[in-house]
Amino acid sequence: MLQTVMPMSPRLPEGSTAPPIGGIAALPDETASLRPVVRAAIACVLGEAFDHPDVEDCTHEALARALEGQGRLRDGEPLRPWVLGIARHVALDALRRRQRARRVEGPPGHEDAEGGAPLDRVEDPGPSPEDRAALFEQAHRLEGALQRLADPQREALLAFHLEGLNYQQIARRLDIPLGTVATWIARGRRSLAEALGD
Amino acid sequence: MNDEKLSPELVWQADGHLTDVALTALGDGEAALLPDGAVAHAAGCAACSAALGHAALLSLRTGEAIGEARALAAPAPVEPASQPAGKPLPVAAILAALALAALGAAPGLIASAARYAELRSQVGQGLAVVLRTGRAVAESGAVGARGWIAALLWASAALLVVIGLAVARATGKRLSLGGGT
Repeated sequence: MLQTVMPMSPRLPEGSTAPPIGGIAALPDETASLRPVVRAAIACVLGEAFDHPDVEDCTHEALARALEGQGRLRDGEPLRPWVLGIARHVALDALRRRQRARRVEGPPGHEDAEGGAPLDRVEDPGPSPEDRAALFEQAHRLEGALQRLADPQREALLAFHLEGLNYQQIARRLDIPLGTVATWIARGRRSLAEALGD
Repeated sequence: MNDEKLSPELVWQADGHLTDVALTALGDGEAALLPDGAVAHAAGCAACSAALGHAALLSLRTGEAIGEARALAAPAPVEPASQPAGKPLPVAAILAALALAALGAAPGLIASAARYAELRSQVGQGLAVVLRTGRAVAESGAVGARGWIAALLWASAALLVVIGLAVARATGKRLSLGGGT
């Protein structure tokens, strides 16, 4: 069970989108509606079933953080990726806590053997030259994959991710059925994921 | 063309689970486009929930990667020149600054001029003493009368002076290094 700073809240029935945060009754509907997808993303990062207690705790914490930090959301910035980013961060933190707990519980000397010198464990907040090179390489691969997509498919993906249009707006702009937009985006994203090695 | 919902064949697989297209749409926040029951199924089905998490993270990651790639590809913003061409020099400000600097440096310059005059006077006096001494020595006939013995005396005197200067210099450095006493 992970240790989280947020108080526990009663769990909701499956499929419910009512505010689940204990003591925070005024959770905006839009954030509350993201609960299933936030929980699913956290379960994916943790590698646990969606009903695992750690998943529930992290979901609770992520939504609470999103609610408390909504003032930091910039004008025009879409809510969903922002909340998902918080969820991913919370889940990765939980994973690190698990790893630390396993090291501490391990046999004597195990921690040093895995962790190396103390200076090696100090995190550098900025990207290293290798990270920057990897970023450029990734950007190059992504651009290549984007160029290999059919023009309207690329346009649909970029309209969604860069312009923040929803499926219906894209369908209207490209004058195509809604199902085609959904199919193009799903397939195009899979192609990009393969190019990125995900 | 503007459908309200995705068609059931795009949403449901034959085995009752959600399709990749439906999960992608759900991960993209397009739940309103899915037929009744699809969202509840994704929330309650372990397999579809796991796939939904993957789709949502993929959507997030793709959006970030596209944004980063476009940001890297964009040309760096050109900084405006600090002194645009054709803009006149601020002459009045420069003159005022020069005047202020001269005013601040005036006491130091005056003191330096006084020290220079004093130094020039001391050098002149010292030179006159050396010339007079040399003339007196030359007129005494000491060098010519005593030959090489007189030259030896002069050389030893010069050597003493040099050694004295060297000792004084070395002592001065040591004292300075020792704290200036």
